[in-house]
Amino acid sequence: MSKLPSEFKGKGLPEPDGEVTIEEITPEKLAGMQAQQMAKMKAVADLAKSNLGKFDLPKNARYLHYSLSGLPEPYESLDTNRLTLAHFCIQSLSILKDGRLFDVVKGREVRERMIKWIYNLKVTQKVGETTIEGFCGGTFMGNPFNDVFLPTGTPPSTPTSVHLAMTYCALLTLLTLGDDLSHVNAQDIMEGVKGLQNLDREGDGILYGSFKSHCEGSESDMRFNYCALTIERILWKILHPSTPYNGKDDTYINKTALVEFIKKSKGYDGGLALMPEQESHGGSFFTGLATLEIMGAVDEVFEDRDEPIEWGVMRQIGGMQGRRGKVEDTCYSYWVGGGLNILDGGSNLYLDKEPLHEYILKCQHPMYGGFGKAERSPPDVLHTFYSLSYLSLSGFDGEGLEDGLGEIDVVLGCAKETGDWIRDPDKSYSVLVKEKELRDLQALKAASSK
Amino acid sequence: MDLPKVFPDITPTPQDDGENPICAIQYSDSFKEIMGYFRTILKIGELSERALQLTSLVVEENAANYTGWWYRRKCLSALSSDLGTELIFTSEIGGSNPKNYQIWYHRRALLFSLLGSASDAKYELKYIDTVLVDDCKNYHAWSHRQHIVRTFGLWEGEREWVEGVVERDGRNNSGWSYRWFVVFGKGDKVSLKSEVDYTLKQCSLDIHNESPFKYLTGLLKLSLKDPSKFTSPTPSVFEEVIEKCEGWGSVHAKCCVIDFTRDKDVKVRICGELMEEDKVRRKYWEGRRAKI
Repeated sequence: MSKLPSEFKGKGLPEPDGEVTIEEITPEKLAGMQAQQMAKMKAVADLAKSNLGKFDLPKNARYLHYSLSGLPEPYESLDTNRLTLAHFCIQSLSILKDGRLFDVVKGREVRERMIKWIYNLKVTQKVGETTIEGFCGGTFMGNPFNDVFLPTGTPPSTPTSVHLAMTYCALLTLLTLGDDLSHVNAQDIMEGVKGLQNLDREGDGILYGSFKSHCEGSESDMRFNYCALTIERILWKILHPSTPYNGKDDTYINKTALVEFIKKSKGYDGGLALMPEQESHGGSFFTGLATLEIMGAVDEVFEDRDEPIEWGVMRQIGGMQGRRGKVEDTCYSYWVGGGLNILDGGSNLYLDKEPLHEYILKCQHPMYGGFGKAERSPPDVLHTFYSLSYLSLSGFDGEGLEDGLGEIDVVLGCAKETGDWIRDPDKSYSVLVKEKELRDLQALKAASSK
Repeated sequence: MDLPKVFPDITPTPQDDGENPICAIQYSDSFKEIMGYFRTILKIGELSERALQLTSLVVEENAANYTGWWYRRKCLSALSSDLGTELIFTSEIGGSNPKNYQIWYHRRALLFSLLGSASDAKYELKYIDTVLVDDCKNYHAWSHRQHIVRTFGLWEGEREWVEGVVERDGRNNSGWSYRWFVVFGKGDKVSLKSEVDYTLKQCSLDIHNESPFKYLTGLLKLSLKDPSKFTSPTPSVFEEVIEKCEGWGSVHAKCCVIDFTRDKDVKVRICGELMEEDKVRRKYWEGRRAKI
């Protein structure tokens, strides 16, 4: 069962003390109580109104911690994707520079517990003669929880499939929590990735070159291309400690086929679709461009960068839409804003930040914190993460945020520090983890001696 | 379904989330019970009618449970079940989850073994119509339509059909994108003149509608880049487009003029105008002007 954070504890009804008497309620009393209730509700609404449009750091942090500890029943439909939800919450808290999770001492226990839970989602499968590894999205298969790290290669008692998006989320989240990935087998993970690329030119048709998400019958599209390539990028330094990444290696991912797929997904309007011949879409705009950026192949697909840039800037209608003629939605701030960020080399020239920030802040829930997709939508962790990501990448530092937001790695979709570790060609993850710990401890010491 | 009665010999496997789970979901009691039985069935690998019924409950509770769908297909295959009935089940569950990837995938997997001929496949287009009536921009439905049309060669009549869609709502960009697919997808040579004529007419109906203008730009760019896709060169269309767009003067029309006029002074002037008129994109137009 979920554990409520301490501030939600102890709010239940008090135990009745001695004999209980029931007071008679007269119509006058009832009217008085109703008026009192109305006044209370109005005060809450007024407070919410006065905070409208202001970034509310404490409420956003509380919303994320609350979501990390437990989610209500409607999230049942995401039971197989819980790791994605965890990724959204943890990366969001890193953008908020949240001490409760990331303080080197105070957050240690929580981080270690989370790392252990994530490693429990590690899956080892035998596909023919090959052993593959990866992660699934939750404990939904009922395998016994292990409090110790199992050696790699231990198969679960109920077989579960490796899922590319979950593997992507697991590796990034583990690094952001300060794990050095010493309990994964990078080679086996890449074997798993390799098996999910569609490479039968005849049989796969327009899907040739793209990736499936898992082997139990899955659609193939741009989202999983991005996950596959990011996984390779993360694991590269473990596989090849002395060779810098150049995005050309074909051992596990056929890059020529992948680029061909993305080229075919380019629309007549300069955008990118989820797969060839379909409508250009904000989500595939980002995942396609980020995939190309990691391979260093953006210009191979877009000879004239103005074409996709124009597609992207046209999506701004105040906030951002994901397709031509659709309504605004906060997550496209990042999908389209991040894609444009890749195209203009990180200078963030093109979007008009002011109305976009205004739109995003309108979608922040005035009472619970967190962000929804539109104004007055209920908040959810996906839209919270992508709202915060855009605010971060566009350098938002408005009222309510005097210290600024934590930076993100736009291409890899995680905390900037995690991205820096992944891109560092010289140091191993374990060295980087140790260095960070030492740095944080020294900073803590310096701060406390002041 | 009374699960303990149907599965008297099966002990449900509870979920083990450890002591400190992340993003723990507050499952309903029925969700927990169904998943408990499903886990055990999966572990022992029972492929039976009751296992098939159980997977119905699993995917009804969580349509995104891909393992539930996968195991369902294994049961269907082992029992040689009637796939027509299964298609009806899929349509029913799809009704309340029109944007669920797994249901659309399941549908496609079924059709792969179910549809023998193009005339069968035509019924599938009817099903897609019903989904598009509720949401005329449903990405999955359009994608599925393309898959069916391409696989079974059902190109005939599709252009007329999508013209109806665009007639009802000219701003339905999914319709425009689909038009491109039916015009160019089959590989036949296309008459540039007649495509441009159709599109210009749509532009004239709503000069602020980006969709036909971008379709027009796409056509003209392709005719320059790959003339072999078209029946015969028709250079006069460029002048016609530029003249009409200059007359309309909307942001999208002006954008089209910049794209195709050879007159540098005109390009510079229009970029300057757009910097004022389309303030949200000021930096973009400024950048375009700098590159002339």
